Amino acid sequence: MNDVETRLVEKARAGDADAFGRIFERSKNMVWNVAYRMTGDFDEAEDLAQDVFVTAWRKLASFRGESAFSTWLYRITVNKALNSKKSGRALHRLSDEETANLVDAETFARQNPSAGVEQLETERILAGLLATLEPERRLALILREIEGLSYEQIAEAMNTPVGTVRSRISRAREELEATAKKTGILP
Amino acid sequence: MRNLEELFKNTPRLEAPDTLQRRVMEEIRAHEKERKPGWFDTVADLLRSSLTHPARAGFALATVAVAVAVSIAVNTPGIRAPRQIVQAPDMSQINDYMDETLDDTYAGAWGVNGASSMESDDISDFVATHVESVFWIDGGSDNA
Repeated sequence: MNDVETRLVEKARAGDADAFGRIFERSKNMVWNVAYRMTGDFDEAEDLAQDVFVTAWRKLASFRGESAFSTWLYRITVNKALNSKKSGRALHRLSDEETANLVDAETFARQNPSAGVEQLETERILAGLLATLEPERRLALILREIEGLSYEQIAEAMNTPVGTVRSRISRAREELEATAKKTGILP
Repeated sequence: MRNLEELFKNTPRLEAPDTLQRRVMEEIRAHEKERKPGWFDTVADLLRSSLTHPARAGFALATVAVAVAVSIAVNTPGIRAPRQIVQAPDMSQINDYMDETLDDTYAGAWGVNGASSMESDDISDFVATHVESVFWIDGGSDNA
């Protein structure tokens, strides 16, 4: 943690809501990206992300600064995401229609005004593929490939040995490649 | 889009919606008073910061030793357990504290992984999610 973050966390622990607001600003996209990729649903992701931040606020007293604040926040996000009804299951099937419906084009365009048609298509392909994975594998893959965390950071966030993280990511990639080949989703 | 690598490379980081901030901050303001640390938080913090891990272990062992000694004494013929009826101590604060600090860890460890244990990658997965997390609660840090 850098000095600014340490000070903000200390203030927030003492009950300073403004300090927590600044922490939120710095970490909102990190939590949002995991929440959205796990659920594939804007409303569900917003509920999940809100739950993560409110829990973080209530439990700041238990954060002792022995790990990075972001890792601690990822850990809360992981727990909430795996407990969520929507993100806690895999769809086990994938059709063109389902893939198209997985991303609400209107909401996506409203929330990402600079995004073009190509980006929407990328989102649909990604959402379609991720939805077929078991939740733990999906989460590990998101943290690695999209969030760019190291295997060690993922292991800490998921409270799992590094070897298990490697195995989950490797199997997730194999499954995605197989699904992509089978469905022709990636030419 | 030719392969997975390209797909991941082209996946942009999304911006959180503005409504999220409003929702979170409204909730935080509503609970702001609850987060002000009370005397119990202060005492807990002091204890936590003053005790090292070996000291904690020693304290736990001493507590167990006392409990065993009392149990033996009470069950020894000729020694009668005190019959005075005392009021049970108020545990509500420590229960609240346990709820605050440990609930989610258990929820993550048992609730979710328990349901999918049969589909776990391998035995190390199972051990990691069901057994290690229990020890990790005591020995780890910053439980969420």
